[in-house]
Amino acid sequence: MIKYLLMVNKQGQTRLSKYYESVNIQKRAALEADVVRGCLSRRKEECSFVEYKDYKLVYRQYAALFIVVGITDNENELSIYELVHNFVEVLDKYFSRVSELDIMFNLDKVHIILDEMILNGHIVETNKNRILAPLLALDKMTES
Amino acid sequence: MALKIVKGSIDRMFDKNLQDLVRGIRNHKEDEAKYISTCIDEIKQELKQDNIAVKANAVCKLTYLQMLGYDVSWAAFNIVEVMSSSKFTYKRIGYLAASQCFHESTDVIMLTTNQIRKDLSSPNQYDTGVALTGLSCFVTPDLARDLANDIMTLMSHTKPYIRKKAVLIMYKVFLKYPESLRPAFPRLKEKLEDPDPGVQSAAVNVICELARRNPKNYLSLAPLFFKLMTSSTNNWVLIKIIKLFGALTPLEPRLGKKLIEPLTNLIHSTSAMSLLYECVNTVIAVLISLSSGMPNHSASIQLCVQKLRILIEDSDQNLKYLGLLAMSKILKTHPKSVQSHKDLILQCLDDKDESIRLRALDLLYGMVSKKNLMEIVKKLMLHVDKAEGTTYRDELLTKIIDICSQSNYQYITNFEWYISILVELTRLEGTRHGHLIASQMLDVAIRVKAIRGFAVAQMATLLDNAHLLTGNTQRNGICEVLYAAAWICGEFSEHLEDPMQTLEAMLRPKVATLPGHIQAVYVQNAAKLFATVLQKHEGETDSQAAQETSQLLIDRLPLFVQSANLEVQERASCILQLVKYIQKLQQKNVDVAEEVTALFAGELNPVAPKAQKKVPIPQGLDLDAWINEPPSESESEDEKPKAVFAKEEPKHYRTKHTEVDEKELARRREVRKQEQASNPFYIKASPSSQKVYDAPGVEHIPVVQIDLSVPLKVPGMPMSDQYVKLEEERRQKAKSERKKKEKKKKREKRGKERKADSGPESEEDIAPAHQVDIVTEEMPENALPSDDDDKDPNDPHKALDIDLDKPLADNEKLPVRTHRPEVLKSPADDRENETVPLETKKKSSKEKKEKKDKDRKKSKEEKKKKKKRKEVDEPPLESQLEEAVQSEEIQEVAAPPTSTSAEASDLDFWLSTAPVPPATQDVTAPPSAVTVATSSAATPDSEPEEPKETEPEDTKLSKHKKKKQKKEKEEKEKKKKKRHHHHHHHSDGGEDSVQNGTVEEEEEEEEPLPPMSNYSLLAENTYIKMVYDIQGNHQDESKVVVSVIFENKSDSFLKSMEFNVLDSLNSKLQRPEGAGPHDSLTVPFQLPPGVSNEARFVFSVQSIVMPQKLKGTLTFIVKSEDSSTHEKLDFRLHFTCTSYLITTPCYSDAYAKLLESGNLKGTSLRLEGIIMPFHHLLARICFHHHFSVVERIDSCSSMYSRSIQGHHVCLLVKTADQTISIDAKCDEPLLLGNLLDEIKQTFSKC
Repeated sequence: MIKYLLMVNKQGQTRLSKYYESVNIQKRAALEADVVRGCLSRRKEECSFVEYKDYKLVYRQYAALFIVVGITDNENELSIYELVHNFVEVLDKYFSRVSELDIMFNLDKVHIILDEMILNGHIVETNKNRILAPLLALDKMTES
Repeated sequence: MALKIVKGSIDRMFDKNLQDLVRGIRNHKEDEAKYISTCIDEIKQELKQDNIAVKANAVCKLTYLQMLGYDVSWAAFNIVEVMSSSKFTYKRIGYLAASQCFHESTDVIMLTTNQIRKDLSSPNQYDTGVALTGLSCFVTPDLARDLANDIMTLMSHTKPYIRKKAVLIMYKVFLKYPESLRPAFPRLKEKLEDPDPGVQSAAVNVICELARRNPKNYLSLAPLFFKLMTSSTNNWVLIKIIKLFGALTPLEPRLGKKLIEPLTNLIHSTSAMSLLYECVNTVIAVLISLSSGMPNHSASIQLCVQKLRILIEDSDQNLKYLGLLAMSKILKTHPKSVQSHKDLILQCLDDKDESIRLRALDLLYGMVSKKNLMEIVKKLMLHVDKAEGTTYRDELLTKIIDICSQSNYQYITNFEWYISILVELTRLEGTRHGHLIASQMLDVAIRVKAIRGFAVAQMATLLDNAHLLTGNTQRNGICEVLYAAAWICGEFSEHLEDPMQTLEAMLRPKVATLPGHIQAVYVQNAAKLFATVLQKHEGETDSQAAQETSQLLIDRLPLFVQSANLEVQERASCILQLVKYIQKLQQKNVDVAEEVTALFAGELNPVAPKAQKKVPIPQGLDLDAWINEPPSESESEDEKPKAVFAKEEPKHYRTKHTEVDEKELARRREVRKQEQASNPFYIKASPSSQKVYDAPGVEHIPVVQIDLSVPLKVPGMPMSDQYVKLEEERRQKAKSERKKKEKKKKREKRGKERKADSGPESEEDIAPAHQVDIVTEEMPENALPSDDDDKDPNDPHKALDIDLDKPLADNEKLPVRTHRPEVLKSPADDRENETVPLETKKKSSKEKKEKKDKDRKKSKEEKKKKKKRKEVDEPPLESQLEEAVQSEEIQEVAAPPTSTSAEASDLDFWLSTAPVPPATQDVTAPPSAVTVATSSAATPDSEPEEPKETEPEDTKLSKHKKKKQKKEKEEKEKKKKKRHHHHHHHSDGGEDSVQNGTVEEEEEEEEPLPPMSNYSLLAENTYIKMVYDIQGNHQDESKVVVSVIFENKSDSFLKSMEFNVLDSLNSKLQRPEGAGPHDSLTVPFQLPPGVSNEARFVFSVQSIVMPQKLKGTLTFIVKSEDSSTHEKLDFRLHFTCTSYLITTPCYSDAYAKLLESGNLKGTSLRLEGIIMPFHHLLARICFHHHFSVVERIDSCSSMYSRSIQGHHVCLLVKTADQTISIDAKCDEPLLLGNLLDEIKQTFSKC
């Protein structure tokens, strides 16, 4: 099961955070900082899985942006690794060449996309068109 | 008002939106905190406005700030406001904020129950979706309880988009409200075969997660999953299923055998690394569970290891890491297969990536054997020297110690080597693990008696060179080893060559710079050494030297007496006085050595860490009993101490003492000795039995000349290396010797307390260099062998360990709407309390629940009798067709045993006959697809949908179905029964929501059901048949939901179905926003031939006191192979007054209050010639007219129901001689009149 998904930039600023297990708001900041430190300190040639406390982190770097996913040990690391890429591809498709700013300015929309893909800590949808369907419907709604 | 709105929207133009906020924060890098606090002030202003758009914008910004770590819990109520906006664009912002900010203790959550329920049942799928998503983040036990039933209903929604979400949320609901698992499980199981792969995947996910924690309850699903595994092409789903199998196989080894083949096929064929990895993992798990009894699995293991080797050799670090991870799992059971890849693993120690190196280290831990231990440790020691960064080096250090000490030093053949390794490790700079090395030194020296001489010599050298260890303040961690060194030298001082020198080393002034606890050990052990030295000198009658020794102590100890450390000071002053006294005696030429030695006589044995816990409680000892009765409250405080101390205790003591006389003591001693002699765990003072083993081994001990003059710390002279060479030579020698002595009887060489050898076979040949006795740790006598249960009592999954195969009991059904806050309108005052989720009231609500359960049971029992009788009574009254239906029912009832055993035997069958033709278990096998579709499509909502018996239309339906099935009936009979059974199960859960404990539908195993349904025929032609049911909407007093089941009777495909109704003034079909009042609604599905499905339409009604009929039309396209035609079917929707009633339970006291209030007006009705049992009659009223039984006394019963607009309807039903009189009261006479007419009609049909 997925515990949380974070998007953090190289400066350690959180750009998106989604928790699938309740984590105290006070603890979130500390956790995020700690997790990011763990991932930022790793070199490119090191593997993308980090053992962290009693669970694992899977992270992927896209330019200056890190996507870090906390998973329980019964989750398949590689499938999460692929999921992260899938997520970025969906973002790319919707924002056409997504950038950090897109994510910041459209936090709510990124959340919609994410919610379509991961629910309750489980992968629900991986098909790009189906993931984007509600968002496109929403966009139409706001236009009209 | 209008002005206000205009003003609001103008304001809005100047408000910051999210983008502005983000930009602003970026532009205020220096004073970000200040900027944000002004933003928060603005947001607070915005939230005060009435305009929902402004509020939503503010909440959106708050969500962003929350992500940055600002507490926004103060806005919780505003978030709820935005959530309840009717516009989706705002609503979703509210839900997003809620899902980010709310947690279980957010108190406004309890306000959201109704809103969420409303959104869940919204006709807009995105409303439902957003509510479900939000719910997954902040569901509380209360919400879970209140909404479980709604979410369960959504699991059968027409849209897969909703279904898949609902299925996943159910997992959270189970966790928060475990009681929901059993009622919901049948439907969850059903979703495994959902036509939509997404829903299927969601169900697989949930069941995997459930099964991971409590696998045994899900074993019966194995055949189904097996089928999914072989048919699914979605890798994400496959991974989950395979994972699930990994959890199941330990419980059912036969399953494992079945799995190996498809899994190995997947391993061979898949190109997806994640899937490959998962398969390998599961094959490993399977093989572990099979570990014995399957000889030909070595091929599978080889395949796995091979594939893993490829992963490890890959340049992709991720694969390398995972390969090592999986390899470590194989290692546990098949160490040999892994050991052959030692080269590869050792290579990974040089990897750039620390996590890979650590994984490799883990692997090495399991790969060591007697043969290769020295070699591996040598490699690791090299890495220790090379390692950069203390964390990795410390990790190496602990790993070396772990590897060597594992399973009671199983793999160490030469302890001298190990001591040398430990001594070498003390040279590590700045390690944190000094205490670890120290404890190893102590452990080895204490437990391996043969090594003590060597250990003491090494420790003495360490003490002598202590300055090297303590010189650098950075190395403080390592000085812990001096603690061990001092203790070993003191305790085993008899082995010291030159105790005087060591004593001198231990009393150097520099020692005072060591940490207190080490100094304390120094002082204490100096005394021990002193005793040894004295003895030595007195033995040699060298009184001069003995006195010099005393003088040395007297000179040096004062330094420690001044120590700031209490322990050091106390010990030092004590020993100093002792030595002074000894010195006096020495001056009088008295021999003191013997007495001084006696101070430290006796052996210290290691005690097992769990020993204390394992001491059995002697019989008759009650640990909870008071030793002294607590003083009574009335006693004054002054009296207490007297009573406790002065009076009672001394007496007590004396009596005890006098009881035991000398003889008795002697006898007891004897008994104890006897007992100790026969106790293997008791370590005797003279280990005679062990010495026997020592003797024959002596010849094998190589004479190792250890050159102690070589300073330990000379760089480049690692001592342990000597042993590696020596060991090789020794083994060579032993080998050749063994060849000579082949005829000689083989001797058991290992100490008897060593663990049984489980390493590779050749290990047997390696004789340990020393015959070592590893002393086991002491345990108390009669220690209980019980294993500790380390299970976490707080694990939420514990609550989900529920037997799912057991038929549902009545009290297990999901709580229904009556438990929920909106019932506040109901007359039952006490229920108001129940619904307010306050801590203090929980207890009372529980009591009520119990009470209710009792009520339910009562009515259930009634039903039982009634139904049985009905079975006997009815057939003659029914038409022939119905008889046929019923006979089928009866057959069904007779055939299946309880579902548990049925499922268990199914599984057995599936597992035993190896190549099972999939069709036998395959519920959705092609021929039966049609019927399955009907059954699943007919059950999407909470409506009861048993095949109807009382109304002719439905009988036709079942007849129709039967016709369809006839062809396959014979071969499918067995299967069909199963399906039916399943189906009933399912409807049980669904029905509950409507019936609310009034008409308790029983499990069919227990009680055959007279099928009843509220679905009545809407219209029918050659192509299509429509049946419908109308239910009041619980949230909205002006809405009813019409559920229509469309059944395709033709052989063609029906599509583009459009449903339209001519609205009346009073009743209107709810159309989506923007649609005109005459537009028709598209039915959201198409119907393949023979399939039926259900759609729901919401109608708004104004007045509910009169029944009404609405004309409507269904248009559709019939598409056959060559043509397509437009067809049209007219129908009339009949809104009865009954359909506006909602089953609402009522407690008798509230009911009485209601009647007393005098607001209700009465009418009565008499029905004659009704020949049916009274409870049967009540059931009909309950079922068809949505009433609930309040109280029943013999042939008289009070009933209650409530309309969607809050009218109370009370009935008093009496029966006597086939005559039924109904006295009815209601606050709306017109409604009541119409209702009674409808009731009359129902019974006139009978």
